[in-house]
Amino acid sequence: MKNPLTQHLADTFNRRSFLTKAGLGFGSLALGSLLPGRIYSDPGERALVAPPIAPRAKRVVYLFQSGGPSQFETFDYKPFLEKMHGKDLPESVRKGQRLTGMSAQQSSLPLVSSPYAFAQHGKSGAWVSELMPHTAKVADDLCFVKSMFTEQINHDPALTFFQTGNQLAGRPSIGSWISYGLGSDNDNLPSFIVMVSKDAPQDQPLYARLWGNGFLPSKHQGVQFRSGTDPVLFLSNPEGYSTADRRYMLDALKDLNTAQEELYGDPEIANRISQYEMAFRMQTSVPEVNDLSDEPEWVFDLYGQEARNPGTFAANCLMARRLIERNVKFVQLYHQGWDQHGNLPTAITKQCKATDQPSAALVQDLKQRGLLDDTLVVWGGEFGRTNYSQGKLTKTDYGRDHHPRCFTVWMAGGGIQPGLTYGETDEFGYNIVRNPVHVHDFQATLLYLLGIDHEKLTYEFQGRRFRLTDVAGTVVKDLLA
Amino acid sequence: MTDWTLFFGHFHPLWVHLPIGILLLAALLELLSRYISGLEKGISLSLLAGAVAAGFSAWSGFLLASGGGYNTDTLFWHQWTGICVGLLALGAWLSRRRKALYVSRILLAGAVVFMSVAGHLGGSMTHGDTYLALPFGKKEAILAKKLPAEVDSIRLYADLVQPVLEARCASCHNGQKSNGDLDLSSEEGIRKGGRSGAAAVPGDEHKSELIRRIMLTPDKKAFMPANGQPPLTKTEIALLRWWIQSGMDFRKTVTEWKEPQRFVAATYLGMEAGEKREPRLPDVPEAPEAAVRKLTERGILIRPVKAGSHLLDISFASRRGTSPENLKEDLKLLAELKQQVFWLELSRCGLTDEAIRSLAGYPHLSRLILQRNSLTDNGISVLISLPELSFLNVSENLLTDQSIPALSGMKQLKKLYIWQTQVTETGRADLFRRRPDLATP
Repeated sequence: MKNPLTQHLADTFNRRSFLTKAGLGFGSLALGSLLPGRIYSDPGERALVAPPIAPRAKRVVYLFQSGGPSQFETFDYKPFLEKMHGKDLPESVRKGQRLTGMSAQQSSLPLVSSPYAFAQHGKSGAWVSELMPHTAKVADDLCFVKSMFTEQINHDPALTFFQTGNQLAGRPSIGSWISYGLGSDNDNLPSFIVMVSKDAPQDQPLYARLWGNGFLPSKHQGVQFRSGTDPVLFLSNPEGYSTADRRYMLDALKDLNTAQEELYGDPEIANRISQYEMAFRMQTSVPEVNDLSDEPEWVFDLYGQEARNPGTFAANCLMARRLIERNVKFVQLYHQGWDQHGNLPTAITKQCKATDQPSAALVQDLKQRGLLDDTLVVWGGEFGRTNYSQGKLTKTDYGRDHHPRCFTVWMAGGGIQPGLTYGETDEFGYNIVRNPVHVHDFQATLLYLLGIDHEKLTYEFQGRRFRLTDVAGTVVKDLLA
Repeated sequence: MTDWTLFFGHFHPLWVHLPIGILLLAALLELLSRYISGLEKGISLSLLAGAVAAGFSAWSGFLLASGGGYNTDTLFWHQWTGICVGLLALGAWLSRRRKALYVSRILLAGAVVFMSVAGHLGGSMTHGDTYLALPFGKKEAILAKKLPAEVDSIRLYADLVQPVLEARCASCHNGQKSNGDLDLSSEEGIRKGGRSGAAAVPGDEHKSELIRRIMLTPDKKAFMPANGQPPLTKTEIALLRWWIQSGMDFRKTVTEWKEPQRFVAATYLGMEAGEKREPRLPDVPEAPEAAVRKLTERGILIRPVKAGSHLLDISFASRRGTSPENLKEDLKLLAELKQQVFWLELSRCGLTDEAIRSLAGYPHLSRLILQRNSLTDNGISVLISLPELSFLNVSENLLTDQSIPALSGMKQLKKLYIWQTQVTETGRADLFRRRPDLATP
């Protein structure tokens, strides 16, 4: 015979939420000591009421260059490769590293130098290739990390590793962690918004799980804005359905959900209620942010005329600025098409043309509006590319395979030291010789800039505490302004 | 020299303990034989075994010494006192066989004395000549070491480099035991270098063998510190490299180093140089709860700047397009948090010259964002009363060149945004002339 009390408890709480409620709430467990003794503005459930470190950045725009942009044609200038052009990659440099199945069977691995000229730019003298003339102009605002490295050699695990700190799918994305940790600064928009360029080759797939919340409460997942007049699917009311009707319907639904929540105590019901409310507010806020008619002509000159075409990288960069102006915490853009195994010169020229001006414009625009001081902008892919040619090296054509051992990422604003070039690769551009920065170090630094100690932002799931940087990561303090 | 030579040589530190134990046993038996009879055979056997063991030790010692790296003076005395131990033990055994008991006892006593001397010298070569004194005084000396008064007075060699070398290198590379003929415990030794050439070349870390070896991965044969000791930390490596790059001076201080390097040097010594990176926030009393609650209910975002501080970061981001009456009421409530407001964002709120007056005199307000409002020169003049304002964004407002004198007079101001205002190029030039240090992106 079951005791009625235990039966009621079993009905009321599922195991996880019971543990949470029994004084071991995930926030209080990991961060209880950080909470001040009073309640400040706290739009919804999040881990930190106040960041443990005074934040340098309050918002992030992450311009993810998906596919693995070649560092050799963009930022990592290697004059030595000009001398070695066409010669085989020496084993003393490769040191037996496993290559991908795509180039491992090649009879030779001919080194390729960049056909594009490099020059030093700005007071900082940062090296930028001629493919990135606009980025070159803002070089003094950027911090180039030439010594990024990852553990993954294929797209999906590498991308997942960068976004979630683990190569296997299922963990929360960086933006979700930040939303969970710091909450939202704007009640009318989600704190984590994602946009994917439509003007890029869809060579490698992107999955919505890359901006998923993993085991965090579902309201922390990234919300994807699509191109066109309806950036969020199913957000507008159907024809003939008024806002008042919508409100009436949501109120009734909320009553039902609240009753269910009281009965079962499942926190996901509360999440669902708050998501409906957010969606309702977004019915007003999203059309407003999506309406570019208040942008003057010079803005389109700055970002490029492509910015008028919704869904392009340029338009997404402009949208990112508009979202940042509205205090959205984490804006993630993806631009695919950097996976140039063959036909690299043609493809990379096109990629740079599509991304160079808008990226630089975003930095410049945020700067002039006074937003770059507390907004971190990141540009980079999931890995780099090999210094040798995949496939045949001809006078005009070559390709480059995946290379996880070194690649370049740039950051700007948000407490990052401008004009800094950090880290160094060897003269072959194959190995790092100075100041390596692991993906977890990068993630730890990103959180640190937002005032979060990466070791303290945790979430208990399946019996252990998880964090973005897993069990590793060191804040690269040398990058701080 | 073959590998086998060194292989057996490396047993020397083990084998030396055999004669020590055996001969001390002989001495003990010799003492006890006054009271207990029948120990004679044991004494004889111990003396012979001790002599043979001393011979083995001496042989392995030769092999080890052939590897080099030891102070020749100390080695000479260690070697000969060690050989004497063996000879004395042999003499004691022989004289005991000839029943010359007193001679035997004197020789044994001599062997014990020589053994102590040889043992001490050997220990000095292996662990450094300060090893014995280490538990006394030295630790206190390190603890009591006074920190330099300010960052500029940190001495490159004495405060930064020498402690690193002392702690991580000098146990093998000292005046007594200089593996690879390298002595890193003294100025001359560092200048001189070792068998592999110059350990450190002033101004050129790439030619400095020391730097090359500490930066190898630990699996490399040439990696230092050897014998499985942990690698130097990033900071330790950085300090050594910077010192060499900056000319390897033994007298200079960090004054000539760049800011990030000075910072690392200061934090390495545990000095409070963190101000540039972790600004110290002023202490203020806790904010009145009622006002915080009311403002929060009105949709204004209020948060502590960081955990443990009562300073507040306040944003009107969700209050855009509010009515002037509402805003007036908001600002009235906000004035109750005057002491605590540290960062304030009031952009696009329809803020007028009239409304901004209530912001006068906020004592700790350091970052103020007033973008896209309708403030004129009149309104801007209120901001002069903010003593701690270091970051001001008044872009997309209606101020003109007339505000320049007031703004440039705010000495605490470090960053000013006046983009899309009516300030002309002449006005900007004027501002730059008055305040070349002010960043106006």
